[in-house]
Parts: sequence; structure tokens; C-alpha cells
Amino acid sequence: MRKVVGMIACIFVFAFILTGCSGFTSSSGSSGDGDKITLKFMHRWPKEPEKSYLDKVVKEFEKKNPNIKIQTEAVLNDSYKEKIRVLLGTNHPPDIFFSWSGEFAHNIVRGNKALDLTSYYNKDKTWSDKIIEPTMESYRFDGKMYGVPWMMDAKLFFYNKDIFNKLGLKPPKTFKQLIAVSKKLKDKGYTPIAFGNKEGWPAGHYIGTLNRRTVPADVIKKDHIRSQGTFDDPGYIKALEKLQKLNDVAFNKNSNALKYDFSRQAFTSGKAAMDYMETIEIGDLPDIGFELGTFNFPAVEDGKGDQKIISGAPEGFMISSKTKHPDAAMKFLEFLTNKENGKKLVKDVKYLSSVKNTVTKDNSTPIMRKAQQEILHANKLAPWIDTGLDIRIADAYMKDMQKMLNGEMAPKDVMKDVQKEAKRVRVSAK
Amino acid sequence: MGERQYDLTDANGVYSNTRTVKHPKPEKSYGKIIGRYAGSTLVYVILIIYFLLIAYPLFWMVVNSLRDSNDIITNSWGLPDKLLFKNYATAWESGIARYFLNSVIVTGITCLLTILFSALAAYAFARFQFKGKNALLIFCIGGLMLAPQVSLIPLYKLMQSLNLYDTYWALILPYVAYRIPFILLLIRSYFLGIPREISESAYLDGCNNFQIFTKIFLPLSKPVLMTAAVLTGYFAWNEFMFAIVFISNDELKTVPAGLMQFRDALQTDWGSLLAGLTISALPIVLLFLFAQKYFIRGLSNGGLKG
Amino acid sequence: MTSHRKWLPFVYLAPVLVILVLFVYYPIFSNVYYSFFDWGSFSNTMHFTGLSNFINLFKDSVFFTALKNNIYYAIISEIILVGGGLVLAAILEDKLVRRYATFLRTIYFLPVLISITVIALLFEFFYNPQTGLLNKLLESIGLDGLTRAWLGNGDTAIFAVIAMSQWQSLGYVAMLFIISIQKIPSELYEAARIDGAGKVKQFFHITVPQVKEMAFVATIMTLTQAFTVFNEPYILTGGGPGHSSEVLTTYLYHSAFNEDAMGYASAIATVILAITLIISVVQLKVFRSGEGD
Repeated sequence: MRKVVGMIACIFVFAFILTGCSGFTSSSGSSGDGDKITLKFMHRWPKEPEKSYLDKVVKEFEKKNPNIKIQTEAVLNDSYKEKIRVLLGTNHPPDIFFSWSGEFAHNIVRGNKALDLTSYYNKDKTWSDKIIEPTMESYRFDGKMYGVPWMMDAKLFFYNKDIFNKLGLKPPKTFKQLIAVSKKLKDKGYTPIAFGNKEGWPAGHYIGTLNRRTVPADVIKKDHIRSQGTFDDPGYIKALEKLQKLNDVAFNKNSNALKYDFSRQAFTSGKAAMDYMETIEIGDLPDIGFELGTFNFPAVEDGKGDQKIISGAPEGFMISSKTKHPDAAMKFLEFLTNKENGKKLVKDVKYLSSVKNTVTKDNSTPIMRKAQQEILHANKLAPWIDTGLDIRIADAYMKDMQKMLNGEMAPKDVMKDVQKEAKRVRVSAK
Repeated sequence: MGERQYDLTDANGVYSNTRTVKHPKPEKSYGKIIGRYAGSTLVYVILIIYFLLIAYPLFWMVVNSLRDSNDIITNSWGLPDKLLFKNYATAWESGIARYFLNSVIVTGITCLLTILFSALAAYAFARFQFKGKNALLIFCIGGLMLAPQVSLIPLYKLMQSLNLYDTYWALILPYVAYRIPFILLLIRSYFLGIPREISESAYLDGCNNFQIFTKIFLPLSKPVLMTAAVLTGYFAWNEFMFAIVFISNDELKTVPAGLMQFRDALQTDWGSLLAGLTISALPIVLLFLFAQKYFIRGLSNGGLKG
Repeated sequence: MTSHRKWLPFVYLAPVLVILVLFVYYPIFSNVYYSFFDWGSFSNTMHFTGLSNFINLFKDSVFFTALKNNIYYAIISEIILVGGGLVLAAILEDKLVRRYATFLRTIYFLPVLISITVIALLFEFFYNPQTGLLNKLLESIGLDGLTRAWLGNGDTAIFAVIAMSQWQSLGYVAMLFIISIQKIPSELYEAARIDGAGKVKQFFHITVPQVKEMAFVATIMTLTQAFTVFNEPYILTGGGPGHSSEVLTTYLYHSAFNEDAMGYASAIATVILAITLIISVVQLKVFRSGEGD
């Protein structure tokens, strides 16, 4: 008995030494012992290369500001959405945290969890003038700035040029052409478009873009206002029908059982000819043995919406309204988004930085420059459905689309559920 | 695992069948004998199929934890060409080490506190007569009827207002609370079996109440305390729901919650992911192999689960 | 032994009482309380809405899908775990396999020891429609027609999840029965054998009646677990595709932490509380009547 107790005691002593007892007290969001300030910084990249990049920026910043220490924490994508909501509800939210733009950010702002940064933007013009204006738009609510855009993410079709050339195919400009191209690819034994939808949001990306093509822009704009959204335009059903068509003709089977990563794997391995990818994934592509091309989501011939707009949004960071060190936190964000770090972001992570003139010949690949051209050409970004709409509406959409892709639900029934949720949101927004 | 499985196949049905032919028992009809041995063959077949059903997936996990991700995808049934122990290094460094340590801390403290508090209370119930004893006992073991899942949201709120959210205590305290009813019951019934004379003679020797507890009751109850430790440890090591909700800091996550993060971080490095799974599975399996009798005793006293 | 200090036992009881009040009883009651409000962790205000959370719940088709899945869970677990576990235990305790019983018992028990996260992540590999062992196995024995996207299909997802739970827990329930069977006096079996009773007859006439009590305990335990299961569906499917594999607890989690509808989630928790309490009451009733005769 005594031996066992002794052993356990040893393990504990050992464990405490290793952990420095850190886990037993709540580490407050920020603390200042003496003149040393500690900031908690939370982002959504526990994976490479983003992690190393951010760690490096943090280290440089700490070197330049010896009185500030930054404690980083990273949680991946899907978990991040849950986690940040939970954390912001606590008494000790992170001082600096990642936030998608649009409704996701707006929700945080409405809950008074984000700090108004307008005065910083006005004070330090040399910094704020270098940020690409449209990316700032997505963090502006009621005329005030609540976030710092860090990069731009946009959804484009990427295709395997080798396969296209071999079969004499051209990148499709219209939805009909996309279907025709897909049929040809399928006949030759390729998966036309790789698609994994286990998470639900990948289909959300398709429908987000399709909605923009088939529904008039002013209707979409109105439906994005929480107190006015009705989602009863016939264009919505049409968009879902187009998605169904893609599912029949172009997607691989079993998309609901496959994770989003799968599509990238199938595409880069040469089994699939096209992949509807986010530009931030360019950095995740391994060395591929074929030439890469990209095109915007094709126009829907009889669609009543915007035929050029691209789904995408800037992504960036916000500062907690509860932080004790707003100046230090903002200092870090300004450092993160200076031109030098923007250029490094393009080079090391292959992200399109939100800082002007950072994508150059020296630090980027042709496909990145092509992607940036497409974005500038489209001139407008449409926010993601899962972060741009109220979570309840987005959720109804994503859950029901999985059923629709399984053939268990008709487009009009999907819209019925969406309309029902929209009604709930309208009621709660009043 | 694989080798022993062959021993079994060789030694079972075939062997007993040959024996049947050699020594038919005279007092029974042949039909009955055939029926009986067909029956026993069927039993063996069921046992072997079920054995494969359980053992193969675990075997697969261990084998593939030593393979390259691409090999796993292209040839799922294959064996490793060369053993990639670096998968284990990758897994260990990608966070498993940290989760492991957290699990050890949380499990260890949970065990200590659960047993200490339960033993103290059990001592009160076993040794004293006092007003409201039955009501208090019902109050204490009433927790057995309540599912922890129900209190998820209030506990989440409570942890925040007590400033315990994102600390080890956010896991330890609920774990202790939800294990106490059962462990208390277990220890109490053991304490009740300790003869009065022993403690009475100690009392005459000048021991006070607390000394009787520490010097007589606890040492005498070693077996049941070990059982309690095993049962509590099993629970705390594997608990998942509280672990993902009450801890958000990756540095403090226990193994079950950390594995989710681990999966996200490794993405498609399947070999290392499987290595991580294998490492995580090991401690309790080893504990079982070495402390089987405490597990079994725990089971016969009402079980590991629920 | 009597004590002259009346408060002494309460000193020993104090830690347990404090912990139970704070972390078991207080949360249970406040959960019921919360379910009458509309609130979220984001907003700081709570609006009293009476029964409207419950009214909405009973109009919510997802809630009924979840409840239905819990019922599937219960029925299948009762058959496979309690029925199958008993048969497996009887076989393992039979003289015929005594030589291998210890070894087999240990192997069969292994999954119980492995954390459910590990098992679920492992089964994610097996269920993968493209590279998973399950489909490959079916193909290799010529059952190509049966291959499917087990977790991606609304009709099969919940059953794939349930199957994994059975895989993990069968050895556990069997072990409970083994312990119980070992307590049966061997004379009973000998007497039956002399009377010419076969194995099957012995099973139904001796084993089953003798382990009745354990069977009841196992039934209740399985039932409670079927209505509080969380880990397996959460990790394997997250309730999807659609809400097709949602169970009560995952829907609770989803409402609370994805939609920030805390009051609604509390209402779901209250329903779970009601179900588990009913099961407990039945258990107590039966135990009481069992003592009576």
C-alpha cells in the first residue's frame, strides 16, 4: 500500500514540475505582473504552414516589444466555430482572436464581445491606408471598424490542365458548359469534380455561389438582414436544382461520407479533374505532377443574379472588448498586417494578404497571381453561407442539403426548412 | 495476436471431431452424437468469428500505426514492409505527450479525492448513529440515478462563474462528484463488514475516531480501495463529454478530448494518427492485464460504467 | 459505538455533501430552471418564456428523429448486448471451451478498456466508403451490392454508430454474466445432466433463471446508456448527414454550443432527465417487489 502511494506521489510531483501547476488556476485572458503584459492570442491554424508563420511573427513581435508576451492557442476550423463562441461567453476570453468576416463577426459585435477599433484606424493612417479597402468592408458594422482583415479567401474552380488538354476540353464559362465538360470527363473515367461533404459546409460553399447567380442581388442583400430574410425567391430553389444536377453528373459518389480534405486528395492524385477550392488551400497542395488552372464558378445562363461574383471573404482578427491591454493587442495586429509580414504571408503560407501590393512575381506562384486576378476581376466577394448567414439558417441549409444530395429530400422542401428558420431569426431579431 | 489465433484454429473443432470418431460413446445414438458435435463445432465457429471481429481491428490499428499513410490507403490489408517507428515519435510530439500528462494528473487527483471523500463519508455511515442518517445516505447515493449529461449546461455555467473553466478542476470536481455515489456505496458495504471488536479494542488502546479510520479501516480495506481506484481511474481516463466542453485550452486537454484535436492537426497522416490511437489505448489495457482481479471485483460490484 | 459529539459524523460527511450539492444536485435543478428561459452564452439576459421551449421541442422534427434514434439504440442494445452477452457468457463458461476461456474472455473484454474516442476514430477508417475495411471486406466476399457510404447515408448512419457501440460493449455485458454464472452452484447443472437435459435445455432452465437478477441490472444499465449516449454519434457523424443520426445528447450539444440556444438545450436535457428518472423508478420498483417474494 505504502509503495503504491509513494509511487503515485512521485508521479504527481513529477507531473507538477512538468506542468508548473499551470492547469490548476484559471489563467486570465491577460495579466500584467510588473510591467510584463501577457496577451492571449487565439487562431484557427494548429497545422502547418500557418502555425509556423504565426509563431514566427509572434516571436519577432516579442523581440521588438520585450514587455509583451503572447500566448498562442490554435483550434482547427470546425471546432473553432464552437470554441470561440464558448470562450467569448466566459470571463476570460482571448485578447486577440481570429474571426471570419460578415455575420460571424457581426454576431460577436452584437454581443458586445468585440472592441471598436475605429480610433486606431484613424490614428495610424500609414498603416490603415495600406489595407485593401473591400476587405475592411466586411468588418465594418454601423460605420465602425471591429476587426483587422489579414487575408482574402475566395472559392474558385481549380482544374487539371493536363487532363483538359488531353481531352481537348476548355474551362467552362457557363453552367451548361460545365455539365457538358463533366459528362465528357466522366465518359473517360475521370471524376469530373471531387467533392467531400461530411462537414456540411462544403455544399454550403456551392449553394452560396449558386444563390448569387440565380437570385437577384437586391433580394440576397435583403435576405442577409436578419430581421428581413424570407428566402422565398424562386431562384433559391433553382440554385439547389443546379447543385442536384452537379451531384448527378459531376460529383463522386458518397460525398456525405467523405471529408472535405478528400476532394483535395482526389484532385491532386489526378483521379478528379476539377475541384472547387478555396484559395487558401493553394498552400496545402503538395508537389503535383500536372499543370494547374483556375476559373471562376461558371455563369448560370438564365440566372437573375450576379454572374461574376465570387464566394469568399477576408479573414482576420478581432480584439476582445474585455481585454485589459487594447493598445498592446492592437500593436500586435498592426505588426501582423504591415507590408513586410503581408509579403511573407504570401510567400510562406501562400495566402493572399489583405495588404496592398503584396502579391508579386518574387514571392508567389503563377496560380496565385491568376487567382488574385480572378478576384480583382470579379470585384466583389460574397460571404460564405456558414459564416455570412445566421447560424440557424445556415445550419438548416447545410443539414438539409446533405439529405438532398442523398436523394432523401427535394429542393423545395429544403427551402421550406430554410424559410422556417429564417422566420425564427426574424422574430428573434426584432 | 495473430500467431495465437492460429494455435486456436488448429486446436479446436478439428481435434475434437477426430476424437468423436475414435470414441463414440456407446450409450447414445449416433444421431444425437452428430448433433452434439455439430453443435460444438458451431460454438467454436462463433467464438472464432467473434474473436476475429474483436481482435482484427485492434491488430489492424497496431500494424498500420507502423506503416506509411499511402500504403494504408492503397493496401489496407497489407503488412508493413518496414516498421515505421517514427510514426510514434510524430504522434508523441504532436501533442499526445501533453494529453497523456494531463490525463495522468486529472485521473490521479480524481482517484485520490473520490476515494478519500467517499471513504470518509462511508466511515461516518458505517460507524456512527445519527439523526437523518438514512435520508443522508439516500441523498448521497441518489446521484446514481442522475445522468451527468443532464447537467452539462449548468455545470458549464457554474465552472465559468467559479473561475474554474479551463482548469483541471473543471474536470476533476465533476468527475469526483459523479463517482462518489457509487464508490461510497462500495466502500461502505466493505466497512460494514469490518468487525466491531477490532475498532473497539483500538479505541480502548487510546486511538481516537480519526485514528481508527486511518490506522484500522483504511489498511484493512486495501482490496476495496484498489477496486475503487481502478473503477474511478477507468472512468476519468475515458470521459469525453465534459472533457471537450469544460476545457478549451489545448495545453490542458485530456487524451480523449485531445485526440479530436490531434486528428485535426495531423489530417491525412494516418500512420501517425493510428500510432497516437495505439498509445492512448495502452495504459488502461496494461492496467487491466496487471490488475485484472480488481477489475473483475469492480464488475461484480456493479460495474465500470454508468 | 456511540459518540458524545453529535456533529462528528458530519465532519466526515462534509466534503461529500458539499461536492454533491454543488456539482450534482444544484446543476440538475438549475437545468430544469434554465429550460423555462430563452438565453444564450452570448447575451447576458435571460427571458422567461414559460413552457415555450418545450412546446417548440415537441413540434421539432429533429427532436423526434433524435428520440427515435435513442429508441433504436435501446432496442438493438437490449437484443445484442443483453441477449447476445448472456449467450456468449454461457458459451465461455461451458466446459467445452474451458481451455481457451480465459484467453478469449480477455480478448473479448479489450474493447471495453479502450477509450471510445480511440475506437470511434478507428471505426472512421473502417467505415470510409473508399478505403475502409468494411466495404473492402464486402467486395472481397462478393457482396459488392452491400457496399455503401455507411456514415454518409441517412438510412445507415445511426446503425453504423450503434453497431460500433455493440462492438465495444458486448464483452463488458458478457463479463457481467460470466461473474453471475460462476456463482451458480455446479450441482444444479450436474443434476440436470443426470436427468438427461441437453446444453440448450440447461441454458434455459438453469442459467437464465439463475442470472435473472444480473440480466435485470444489465437491462437497466443498457437502457440508461441508450438514452444518454453521446460520444459515439458525436465523434463518428456529429449527428449527420442532415440530422439523421442525431441523438438527444448530440442535439443538446448542438443546440447549446452551435446555435447558442441554451434554454432550448436545457429543455432537451430536462427530457433526458425525465427519461432516466423513469428508468430508475422502474428499477427501484422491481427491486422492491423482488425483495418482497
